[in-house]
Amino acid sequence: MIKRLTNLPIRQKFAVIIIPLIVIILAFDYLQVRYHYLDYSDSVRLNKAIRVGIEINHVVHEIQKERSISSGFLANQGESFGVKLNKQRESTDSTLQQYYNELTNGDLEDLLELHRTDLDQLNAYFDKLSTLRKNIDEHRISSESSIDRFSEINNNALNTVIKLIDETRDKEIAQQIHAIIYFLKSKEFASIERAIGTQAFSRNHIDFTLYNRFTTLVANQNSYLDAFNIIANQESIEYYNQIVSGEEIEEVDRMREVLFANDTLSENPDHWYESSTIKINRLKDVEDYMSDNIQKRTQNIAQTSVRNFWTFLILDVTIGIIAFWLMTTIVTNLLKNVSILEAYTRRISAGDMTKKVVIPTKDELGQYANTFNRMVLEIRKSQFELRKQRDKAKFLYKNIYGVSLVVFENIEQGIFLLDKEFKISKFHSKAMKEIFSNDRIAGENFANFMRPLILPRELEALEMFMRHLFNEDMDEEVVNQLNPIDQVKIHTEQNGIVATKYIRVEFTRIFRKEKIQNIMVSVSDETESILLQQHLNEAEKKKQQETERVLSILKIDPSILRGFLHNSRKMLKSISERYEKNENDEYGELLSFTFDIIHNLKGNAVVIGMELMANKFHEIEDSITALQSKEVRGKDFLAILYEVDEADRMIAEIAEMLYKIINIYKKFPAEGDSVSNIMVIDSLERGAELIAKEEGKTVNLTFDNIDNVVLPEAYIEPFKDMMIQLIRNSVVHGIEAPSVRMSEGKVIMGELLIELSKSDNEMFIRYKDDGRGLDIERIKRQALDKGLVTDTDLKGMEEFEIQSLIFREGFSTADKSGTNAGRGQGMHLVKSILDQYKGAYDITSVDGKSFEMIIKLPVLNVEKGDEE
Amino acid sequence: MSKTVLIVDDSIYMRSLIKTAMEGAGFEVVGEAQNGESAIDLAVQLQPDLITLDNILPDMMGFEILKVLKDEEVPSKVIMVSAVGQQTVVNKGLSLGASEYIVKPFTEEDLLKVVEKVLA
Amino acid sequence: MKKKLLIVDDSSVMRRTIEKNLADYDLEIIGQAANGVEAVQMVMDKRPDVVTLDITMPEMDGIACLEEIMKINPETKVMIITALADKLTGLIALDKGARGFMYKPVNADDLARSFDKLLKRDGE
Repeated sequence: MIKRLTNLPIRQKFAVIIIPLIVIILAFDYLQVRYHYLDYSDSVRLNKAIRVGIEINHVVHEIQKERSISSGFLANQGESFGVKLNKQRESTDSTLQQYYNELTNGDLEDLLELHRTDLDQLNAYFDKLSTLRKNIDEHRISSESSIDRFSEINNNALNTVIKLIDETRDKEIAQQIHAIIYFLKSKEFASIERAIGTQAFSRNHIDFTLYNRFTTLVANQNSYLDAFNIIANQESIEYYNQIVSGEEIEEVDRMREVLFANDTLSENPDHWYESSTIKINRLKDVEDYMSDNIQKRTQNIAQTSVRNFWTFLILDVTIGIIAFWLMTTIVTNLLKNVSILEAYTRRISAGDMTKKVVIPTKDELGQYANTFNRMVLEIRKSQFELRKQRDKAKFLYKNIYGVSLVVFENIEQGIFLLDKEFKISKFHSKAMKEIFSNDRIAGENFANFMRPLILPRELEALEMFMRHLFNEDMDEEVVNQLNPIDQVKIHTEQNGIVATKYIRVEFTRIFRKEKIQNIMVSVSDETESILLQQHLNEAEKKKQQETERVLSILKIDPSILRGFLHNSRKMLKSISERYEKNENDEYGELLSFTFDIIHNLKGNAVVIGMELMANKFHEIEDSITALQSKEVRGKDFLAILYEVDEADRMIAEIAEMLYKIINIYKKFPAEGDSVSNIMVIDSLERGAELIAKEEGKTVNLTFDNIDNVVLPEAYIEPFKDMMIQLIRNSVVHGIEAPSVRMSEGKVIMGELLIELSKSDNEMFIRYKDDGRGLDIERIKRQALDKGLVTDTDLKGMEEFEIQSLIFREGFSTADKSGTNAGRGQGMHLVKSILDQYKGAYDITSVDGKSFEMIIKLPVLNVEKGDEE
Repeated sequence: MSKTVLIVDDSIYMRSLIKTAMEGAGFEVVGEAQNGESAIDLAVQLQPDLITLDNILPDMMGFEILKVLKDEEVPSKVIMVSAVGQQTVVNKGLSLGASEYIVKPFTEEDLLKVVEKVLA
Repeated sequence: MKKKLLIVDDSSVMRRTIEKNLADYDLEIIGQAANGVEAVQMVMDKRPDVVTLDITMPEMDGIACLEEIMKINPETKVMIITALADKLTGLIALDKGARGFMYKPVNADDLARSFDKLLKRDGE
């Protein structure tokens, strides 16, 4: 029940509180108003009843008189009271008429309706009056019976009056009404007492029954008077005491005592009657006085009630209206605010937080609204923050995911993840497909995937390797050193075309929560770069071969060479001719014929020092020898022919080269053996370049031949050997490392200069470099270390002499003896050549700047002339 | 032997009425008192079987007399005789030892009914 | 307590190089062996914590030696130092319980790094 109450909507809760309150107020108002209305109607009704009652009392009063007179009339057999009786009857009828008139009064309708039965009954009694009077007139009724008959009527009338008025809510009035009733009863008994007295005094006698009745009457009369005295208000009692006193009253008491004494009832009945009547009239006065009072009082109450009724009605209605207005205002306001909040919360729950809630009142709801606004502001802030984060996350996700996809689409590397079962992840870069020419990648076991592509041994290693990669106890770097497919050659097949590829496969552990989750594998196709490298290597090799060829050509006398070439071509041609003529498939014979020719050519090549061709012919010899052990078929011989062809091609190339060289010579207006000269310079240039490369330096050799000196044949080798030693010495010792040269403001490329010139009888070779020059101290140290000189020797030596120490045998300033050392003899070789050819030299070393050596050789004119 | 009755009332007519009624019923009215003082004297002296006691007497109230009778250890049964509208007074009398009460005015029959009830 | 190190290599130059490069380490070099048989004997006698092991050796090769060492004390940290380019052999060595692997020629930096890792892992 309480739960159901607490669960009600606020509107209904208010209703639960207010409706009972309003009902209570209304009920209270109703009761108040009703109370006053009842007071009013009660008073009005009572007032009317009293009016009627008074009329009835008037009738009763007259009947009382008539009863007494009638009783006296009957008692003395109509002797007296005759006139009085008729008068009284008129008087009775008159009051009776007044009573009836009163009943016709319109405003009594409700009262008459209420007491219809009583009044009808009373009227019936009143109607009996005429019959009773007739009986009295005709003396058909005893005095006692007449009294009883009249009393019967009066009794009924009094009872009717009691019934009429004995109904009021006012205690005070009720009491006074009872006082009147007691008084009326007392008066009735007094009246009967008068009738009995009148009868007794008229007869001068009272019998026992009548006497008892008289006593009882007086006793009862007194009893009612006692009751009256007890409950009547002070005013009425005082009025009674004032009115019902005096001579006449005392006379009645005196005569009553006479009657009670019952001795001689000689009193005049008229006197008794008159006295009693005075007393009864007085009593009537008191009765009227009291009736009047009550009537006034009821009127007063009615007026007060009406006033109170209206006062209360207006007051209650006013209070009710005010209360209702207040409640309505407050409740409406509250409900309005509540519904504003409700609507607001509904809007918020629907996600609309753009507006503030406005509660104009400053009560709890107003504060609640403020709190609510702040709350919503906070929510909006955090929502904003969340949205920002979400957008950021979305952006990042989109971008990263997008970028990842794009990367995966475009990257040239194959990238994928391996799980612990070595399965390839669903996502892998597009390049995978291209590299492996395979669509089935995702979900494949990587080892199975690689199985057809690599060697079994590599595959075995790969499986083991992957196992170690997932083993957390193993260091990643250690394992990765053993990557068996770090660089691997694979054969892929696409559309039936087999392609060889060189791939590089790298593995990286991917950790999640400090556990190896996956292995990221990247595959790069290095085929192109490797092929390029191979091409480069081949090109380099070819170039070297060509150089060798050129050099080997240049070493041989052109005329001999020409003869060799011519002969070789002729001989080789004879092999193919012989093959073409071979109709009987006599390959064995053909083979031996070929071998003989090749062997012969090889011999020639060796004789003239043509190693290149000698080697080639030797290879062919080997091939033929390999074939000689078994039965030779045409197919086998084709391989030999191919090799022969190759040798022929080589010879053709050499011939072509020779032709080119000869053309060059023709353009040089040179004398002597200029070809050899050019070849020497060429080889010196190559030599300088080679040495520099090995030393990590770069040099430029300039050859200057101002006088067009042609070295004679005899000087070519010595010249070449000396220059090679000097170049080597310069590059290794003189020319500084590029960094040093840069810091000293020199051009990084070292400059070497060879200059030829001659006079009439001397030839000058000027050699110069722009290196650091000779280090005297170092030469001294080296000479001492090698035991070439002693300290004493050094002290007595000139600078030139110290410089010359470098030409001494056993002196080598180089710490390491490399291949560039020519013949390993160093500068000593230069000195020994000079000595051999009676040459002279001069050295100029500028510290940090240059080293220069001028060689003088005697002109060999005589020898040359001799030769020619 | 007939029961003895003391009638206490200030009204001679009432005493007469009661006396007539009691004697008519065979009781012996041994005394009548018209005020409290004589009523107490007579009650102590006569020790009647029954006392009819008017509630309002010139010198004292009926219940005051009842108190005295109780103190004097008068064994008589007492019938309170009261005017109408005296219910509280009657109740007080009953609590002080009165056996019954009767409201004035009453008829002979009314009285005898009460007396019979008291002396039964 | 210092870790005990055994160096196994048939080349004395190599052994000296390793010894020299590990001089700064908190290791006590308890011996050097020139072949697998010697190495196994020394492992048995001196119970080294760490062993550097060559693969190509006379008498008993590195893999067989490694197996023997693991039989004697599986807790031994073995670092393979070899010139053998065959990766399968290296992987087999890892299978057999080697915890480190290096190619010859070794330089000081690489050796230091490898030993840092080996000893750090050991310390875990």
